[in-house]
Amino acid sequence: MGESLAVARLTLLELSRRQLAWVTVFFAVVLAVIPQLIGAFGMTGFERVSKDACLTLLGWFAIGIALLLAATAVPGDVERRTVYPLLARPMSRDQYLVGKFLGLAAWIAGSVMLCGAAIALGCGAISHALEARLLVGAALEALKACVLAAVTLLFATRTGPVAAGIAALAVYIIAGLSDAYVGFFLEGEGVLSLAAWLVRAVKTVLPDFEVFHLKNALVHDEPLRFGYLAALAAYGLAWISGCLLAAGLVFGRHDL
Amino acid sequence: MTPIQVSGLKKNYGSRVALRGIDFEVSAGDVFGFIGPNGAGKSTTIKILCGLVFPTAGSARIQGHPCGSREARRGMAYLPELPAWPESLTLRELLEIHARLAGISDRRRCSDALEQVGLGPRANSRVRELSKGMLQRFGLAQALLAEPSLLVLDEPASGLDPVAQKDLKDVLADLRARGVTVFFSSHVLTDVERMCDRIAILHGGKLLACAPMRDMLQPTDDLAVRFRGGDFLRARLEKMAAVRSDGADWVVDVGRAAVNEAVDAIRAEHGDLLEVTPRRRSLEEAYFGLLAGAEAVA
Repeated sequence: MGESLAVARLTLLELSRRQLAWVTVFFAVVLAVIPQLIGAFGMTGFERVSKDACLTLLGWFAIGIALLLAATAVPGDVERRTVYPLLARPMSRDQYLVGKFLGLAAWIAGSVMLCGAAIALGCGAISHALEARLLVGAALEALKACVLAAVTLLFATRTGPVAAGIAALAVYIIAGLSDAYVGFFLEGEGVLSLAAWLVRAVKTVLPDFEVFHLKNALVHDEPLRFGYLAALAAYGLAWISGCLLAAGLVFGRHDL
Repeated sequence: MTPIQVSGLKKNYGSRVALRGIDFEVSAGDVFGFIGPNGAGKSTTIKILCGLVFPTAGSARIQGHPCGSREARRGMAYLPELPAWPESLTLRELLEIHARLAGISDRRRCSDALEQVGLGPRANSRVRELSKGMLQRFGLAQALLAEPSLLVLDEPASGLDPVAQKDLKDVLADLRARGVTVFFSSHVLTDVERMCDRIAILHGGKLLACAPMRDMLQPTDDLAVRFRGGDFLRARLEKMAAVRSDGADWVVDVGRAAVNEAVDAIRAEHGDLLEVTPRRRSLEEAYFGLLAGAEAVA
């Protein structure tokens, strides 16, 4: 575990010195200001509108950084040849991948939680009450991003960053397609019905990213049950473990 | 335990054959030179030794353990050709991470390793602030961090200026004196000739030779006559054979039948005869002779 933590520290140090850190801070400030701007219009239910808009933006941001960082992490190390001295150490490739993922996950979680805190502050400023539930929502967005990062990392162990990013985005989109959408776009007979069947079949073996999106429950003040949240956490961790295991199998026999 | 043992090693990248079944051994305490033209398979062999590339057939063992295993990598260190490091980190941060990966808990080892390669004052500099030579020295520092018994270097002199090359040679000489086994690839044949106990010559994925350096540098039938004298003497000897300079001296290589004639000429022109020794083949001659032979067969 010590080796993985050392790689995680290396990854975190590298990420913290990229311009991305400032982009995250800027985005957090924007999220904190959005409720004030929406509030300025004075429309009814502006608190809910603010939460809805901010949580939607947070979801996109989480997906964006997960894809961007995870797609470039391993191929970047291989391309720049910075991976050679690391893997020549008495450390397995699995430990390297786990370390890489832990570093990415820590960065993604930190960034998303920072933005979540900015949303809570922004919404709290207009409603005069801090809503801790927004942080729970942000934490689940972070978990969703980490699952997506693990999926991307799996592709990135065998392909380049662009292909890995596109493949992971495709997984995210297909997994998020509702039955109604599939029926709407692929309605018909012959090839179309076969395509619809295929998409539905593929969907069943992909992670369900939508379950992490608690926007509706947060916007409409529905209760968040601890058991449900724990089940979501276990579901996310199971997917992360599975993806890392598969990534280890792929990367373990890959010539560098 | 034999530090490196390679047997029937083959590697194909798709349809391209990089190694065609090579065998060699490196003994403990040896400085072993691995030479060959570009594309000969040197880096592939080194990457296999370090577990970065997997062989198609054959085996490679480090201290008796299969290459790539954690045990094999425990006592060895590797410096890749033109090593790259995360640019935003400081030297100290990077070394601390490598120390942790090597299982070293004593942080002073990082400072010591930096001092050893003359980068102590730059410990807090970021990698991006270093010159090429400094990067190579830093690479050596990370390799020496765990005090390895086997050091594997891929073209360590690549891109270094003469001062940095001399520093590198000094470090390697120091390691040799401490009994560390050093395996390195290089294109600088004079360095290999000077530093190595044994060498292997690789060409087109085949091992052309693997022998102690003294066997590669066999005496020839010629004698080397070393002398000092003026231009007139040199011009006179040039008529017998090519005269080359060696520092302040001149050296002419002549056959045994002509040696008396050369010595007489030096005396007649009031030159200083310094020594007459059997001429040894240089590594360069041996290398190009083997390559020419291999290309003729191909």
